Amino acid sequence: MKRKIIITASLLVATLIVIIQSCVSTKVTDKSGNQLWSENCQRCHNTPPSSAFTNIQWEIVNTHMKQRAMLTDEEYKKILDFMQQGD
Amino acid sequence: MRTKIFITLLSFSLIASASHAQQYNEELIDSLIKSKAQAQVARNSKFLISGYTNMTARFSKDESSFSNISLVPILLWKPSEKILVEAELETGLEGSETSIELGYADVSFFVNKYLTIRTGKFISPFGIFQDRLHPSWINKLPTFPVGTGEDELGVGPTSEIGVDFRGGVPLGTAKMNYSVFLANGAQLITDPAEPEKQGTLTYGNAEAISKKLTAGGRLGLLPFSNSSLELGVSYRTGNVGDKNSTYKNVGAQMYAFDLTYVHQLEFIKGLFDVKAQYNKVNVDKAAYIDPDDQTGNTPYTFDNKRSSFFTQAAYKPTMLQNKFLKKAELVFRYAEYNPPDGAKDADDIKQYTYGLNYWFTWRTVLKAAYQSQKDNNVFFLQIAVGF
Ligand code: HEC
Repeated sequence: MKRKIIITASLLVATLIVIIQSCVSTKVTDKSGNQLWSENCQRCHNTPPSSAFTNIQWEIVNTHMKQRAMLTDEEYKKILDFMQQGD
Repeated sequence: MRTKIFITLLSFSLIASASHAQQYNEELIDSLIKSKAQAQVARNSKFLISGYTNMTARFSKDESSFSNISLVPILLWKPSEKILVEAELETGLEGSETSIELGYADVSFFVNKYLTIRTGKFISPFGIFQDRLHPSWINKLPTFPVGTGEDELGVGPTSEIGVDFRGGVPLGTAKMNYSVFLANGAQLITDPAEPEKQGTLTYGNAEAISKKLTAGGRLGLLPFSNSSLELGVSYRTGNVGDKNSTYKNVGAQMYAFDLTYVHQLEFIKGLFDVKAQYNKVNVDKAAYIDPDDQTGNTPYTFDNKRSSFFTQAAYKPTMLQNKFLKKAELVFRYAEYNPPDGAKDADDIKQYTYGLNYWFTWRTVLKAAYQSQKDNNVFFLQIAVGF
């Protein structure tokens, strides 16, 4: 139990430090598809490059991620737009 | 199995009829034909076969083997603007046995910006490991953290059969997501032939075990606009005892907390990735037949509360110029499992796993890991490919 607390606490402290380091707040509405793509996909797995799929495939993949990762509607639209342009 | 097939077929026919109905609203025959033809083309082409495969080799003091070979195809189909079908088949070879299991099969309806309704068999939105991290091309280590799997050491649900309401909601510079479901109850295992499983639960059952449905869900908050941090709380409650047995009133409440922090940091020249999850399952007190008691008349009971926990940190020097180092990744994970006192075969487990990965592509990886857990130290090599 003690070990658990120590490990979690030190991870939290480390996390807090880096958060403070990197705190820049821009509204999601003001962000580009490119930025949303680079910030969001990496939360769960490596970010796929836009060359990985065709436009139709991107539509399916992003719809899947909208459902699975609960991306907001705006994120979904902007990211999809960005991925499809890069094709 | 038959029920699963039935649910799948029913879902498919629902979609088919819904999209047909839409098409008959057209006024002109010409445009009807045209739109129908277009819909047909679109329907046929919005298919994607995805999934992953992996092979693992394990080396320990007593044995070495290639094991745990699996192929998991995923079918994605977007028949119309507002509908997505997803289905996953988990096939695997463990020892000499081939297993085939329906991982999930569900239909999602995108009702509006903030609401998606999903129905069928789906991965339980309980914490983050099962829902987001378990596929082998995503999981940064060749093993699951103890306490998160489907085995008897699993603490908490892995899949559900039911209906789920979910979505993402922007909150200015922050955002949140929610997933709330109604599903079939979990099943309490009471069989004295499997003493180590007595008091544990199985999930994702297609039969009605308890009289009432189970409810649960997860709420996630991403407080920063760069989406680097997510904190989640999950809860699930319902009856777990067989409705035709003396266990019919036995219920279970469970909850989980999870944390995700992923961010590219200039001062360490790379991507820093932290994940953590705590699971707790409380099952109401019940008396079980004691397999050690010859007479079979003295049941035993225990305070049926178990928990598991894991925390994982990974670092990948993505900002380095060196092409080789850029794709390497270091991982450390600590996991533990705490069974109830008084249960049969109940031992605490503490597990330490150290890994070194090399990413050939964004979803092809070679993992090397060393896992130490009491007297059981194992070295793993795994190749995982997403497709
Ligand atoms: C909340 C976690 C999460 C986030 C965020 C996320 N993904 Fe995923 N993604 C997953 C999971 C989990 C899977 C595996 C699905 C499975 O095996 O059932 C997956 C699978 C995929 C796949 C494989 C094909 C498929 O659809 O299964 C692609 C491509 C993909 N994601 C792209 C993306 C992109 C692009 C983004 C950013 C817009 C993104 N993901 C964001 C969790 C996430």
